[in-house]
Amino acid sequence: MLIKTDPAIIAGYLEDASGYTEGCATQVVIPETEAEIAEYLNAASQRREAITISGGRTGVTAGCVPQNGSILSLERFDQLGNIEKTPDGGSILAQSAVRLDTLKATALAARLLYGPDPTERTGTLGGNVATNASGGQCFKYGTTREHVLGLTMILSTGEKLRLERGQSLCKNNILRFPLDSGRNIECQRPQLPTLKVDKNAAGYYSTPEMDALDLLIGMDGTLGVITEIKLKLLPAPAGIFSLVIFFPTQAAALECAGQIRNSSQGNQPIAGIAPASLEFMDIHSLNLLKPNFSTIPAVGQAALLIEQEHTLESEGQALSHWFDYCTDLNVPENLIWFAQTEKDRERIRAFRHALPEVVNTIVRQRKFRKVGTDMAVPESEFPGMFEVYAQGLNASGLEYLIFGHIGECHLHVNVLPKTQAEFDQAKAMYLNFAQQAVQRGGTVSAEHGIGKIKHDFFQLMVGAHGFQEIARVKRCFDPALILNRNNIFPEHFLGALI
Amino acid sequence: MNIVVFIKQVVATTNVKLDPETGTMIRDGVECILNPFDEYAVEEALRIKEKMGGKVTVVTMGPPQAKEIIRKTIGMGVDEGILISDRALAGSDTWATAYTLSQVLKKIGDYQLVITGKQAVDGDTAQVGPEVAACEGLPMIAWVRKIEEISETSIRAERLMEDGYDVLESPLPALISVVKEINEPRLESLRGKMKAKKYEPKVWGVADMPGFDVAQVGLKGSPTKVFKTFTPKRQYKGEMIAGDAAQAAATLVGKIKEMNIV
Ligand SMILES: Cc1cc2nc3c(=O)[nH]c(=O)nc-3n(C[C@H](O)[C@H](O)[C@H](O)COP(=O)(O)OP(=O)(O)OC[C@H]3O[C@@H](n4cnc5c(N)ncnc54)[C@H](O)[C@@H]3O)c2cc1C
Ligand SMILES: Cc1cc2nc3c(=O)[nH]c(=O)nc-3n(C[C@H](O)[C@H](O)[C@H](O)COP(=O)(O)OP(=O)(O)OC[C@H]3O[C@@H](n4cnc5c(N)ncnc54)[C@H](O)[C@@H]3O)c2cc1C
Repeated sequence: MLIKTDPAIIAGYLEDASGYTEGCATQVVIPETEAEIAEYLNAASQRREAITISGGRTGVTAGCVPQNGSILSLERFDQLGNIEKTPDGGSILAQSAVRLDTLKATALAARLLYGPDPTERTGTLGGNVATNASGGQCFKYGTTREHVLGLTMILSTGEKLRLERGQSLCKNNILRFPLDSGRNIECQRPQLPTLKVDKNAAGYYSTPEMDALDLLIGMDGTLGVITEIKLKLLPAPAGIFSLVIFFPTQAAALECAGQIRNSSQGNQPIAGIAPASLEFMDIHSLNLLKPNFSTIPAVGQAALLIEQEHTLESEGQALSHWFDYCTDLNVPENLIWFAQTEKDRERIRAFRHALPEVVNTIVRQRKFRKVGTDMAVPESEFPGMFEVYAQGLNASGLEYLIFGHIGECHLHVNVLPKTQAEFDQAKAMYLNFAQQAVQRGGTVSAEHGIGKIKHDFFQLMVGAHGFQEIARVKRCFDPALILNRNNIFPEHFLGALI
Repeated sequence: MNIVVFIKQVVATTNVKLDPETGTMIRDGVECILNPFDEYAVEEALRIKEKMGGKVTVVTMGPPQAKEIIRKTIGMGVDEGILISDRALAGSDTWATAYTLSQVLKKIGDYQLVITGKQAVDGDTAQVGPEVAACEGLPMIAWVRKIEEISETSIRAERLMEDGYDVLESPLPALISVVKEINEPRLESLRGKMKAKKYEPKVWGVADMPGFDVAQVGLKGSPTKVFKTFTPKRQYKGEMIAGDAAQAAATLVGKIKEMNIV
């Protein structure tokens, strides 16, 4: 185990992609085995030393940023096991610091697919599981949760928990977790309001019939240190192509997104229209990208980004279905980008990935944190929610952009403040948006999690009672209350570390 | 304006794997792509056509698999593709390749502009374009980064130089080679892709080109003789400099001074 106390080295662990700058820690602990983690956490529990778990530090909510105590970095847990093939795909064991891009590439080399595709490929699988990350293809493949078959976690007591999907189901609201010490953790599932959306990264997962494993996915490092994950792999599609369709009006883009969503769900099927991902960019997003992508059509007021999979046999059909659909939409050919070769698809991926990066660059220059929403609402509420965004933003006079996962009714509104006054104004507007989303049965965070910077929004969803419920469950796993304090809810709900 | 673009199929360089024993490239299962510089050539041809009308024809000399890059350009909007494929051409060097392509131009006859990439990213010689121009007695502008003006009878273009650029004017027909600064190539279009999927390029062998002199091509016709190929041995070993940042930097500066680099 390595322990680093050089401030220059520690500094490298005090930031993620949130722009949060108040990180502080006394040392970085870099264990190499589960036994070292167990021993260190056990001793830290005795000392009441706060521990913050560090993965790839690509998070956007300062979850991995410590405010005091020690950093526990999993960087040495980077081994990827062998793929076990099954008739319907396969599975693989990965240590928690394996990067998403490594797993994706390894799976693909065996003609298998790891479904989740968060835009940031350098994040770790431990971080992905801790935040229940999701990406564009969540439209078809769901969130990280649906792909976790089991995991190993070290508790702050030093005990080890190994759980497989299906091994422990919630009964009479009781969740049961067998530990290697022979002891069981038994706790009532957190009583939290029921959501009307599937995509959610805010707070603990809780439903009456839940698998105990699902409590550990999306827990933002508050319950234990994930060391190893068993993940599901699916057969890779024979082929896939990307389309970017530019629309002369935003309304046309929104209407088309609704049609594609309906078609994919089988409500009003349009022949062949069932993409793996369906994303949106508004005019402000396109304008930000124009300096780097000169071929963005000038008349485009909004764009949809689509990925369609196909089999070897269905390729020709898939192409002509989309061609027919675009013809029906009346979109002229010069407003469609098409990419099928790996090289061309990479250009579209770069186009998509450039947006958050351009935003982050502006934010760094201006030195004011962006105000970025991450809300999803039920489909029936989506048009109304979009209206709320549009009206609020246009009336505000602030610089903003809207983009994201329109397939799942999950858009990101980013406001880019230039002054403190603008920042405060944006925060107030965000709170209003969050209230609206919650009233509509939605979530205040569909994929980024709550971390340290979204407590007040989360409180809108679950109230102080919800915080107490989450704190209650945390106590069952982390009785010394040392792990990832201040993530998900304010630490005063735990009491001080003594 | 009728434009001919020469294109070459190359291995996607990001995927090149070497056989650790022989040091040669492993070609099995490697993705082949359109030479990146030729994508700019095709894009420029399409832009000229969009402005002036006419026809864009791509030509590649290579094995039957090279039809794939022709289809790729058809998807971008190219009108016609010709594959030059013949056993007699196997083993051709750049000169033999250029001779062949010049014979293709003779057969096509009605063209005003020929565009090639600056170089192929595998062979890397940047010889084929100039050699074709020499064979055909065409004026040539190399390394074009911008076409300032073009008419049916003349072209004015900026040639990229190390310390700036030259502006050159030439009558047409002429041959130009292009650099990546010239444009941002388009992607295939959906309609183009559907057309490309069904597209069968013309295939010409040497017999299809009247007056073709087979003695000029193939291994025998190639003036270049390869005596030996080998992977160069690394001459220097890396060295790790220990110590904290300040110490290590000081050691490094000392070493650089010792070597008289600065
Ligand atoms: C440009 C950009 C694009 C992004 N796009 C997406 C996207 O499309 N979808 C999406 O969901 N997210 C996205 N993100 C956010 C981020 O990539 C994800 O949240 C990711 O899951 C974080 O992984 P990480 O390894 O970097 O975790 P970190 O940032 O290191 O940590 C995140 C949280 O997980 C905890 N944690 C990390 N490892 C462990 C472990 N082994 N055990 C227990 N807890 C742990 C940390 O303590 C922290 O609370 C994006 C970020 C950027 C910068
Ligand atoms: C002795 C010898 C034997 C060889 N044997 C073979 C062999 O058996 N098989 C083999 O594949 N290669 C062989 N080569 C390599 C081959 O000659 C070169 O790859 C080819 O001449 C192109 O040269 P280059 O790659 O340097 O292209 P460059 O001169 O760098 O290319 C410049 C431009 O010319 C055009 N161009 C280049 N090549 C072609 C082409 N084939 N068709 C259409 N346009 C083109 C493109 O527009 C390109 O951007 C051999 C070379 C030598 C010296």
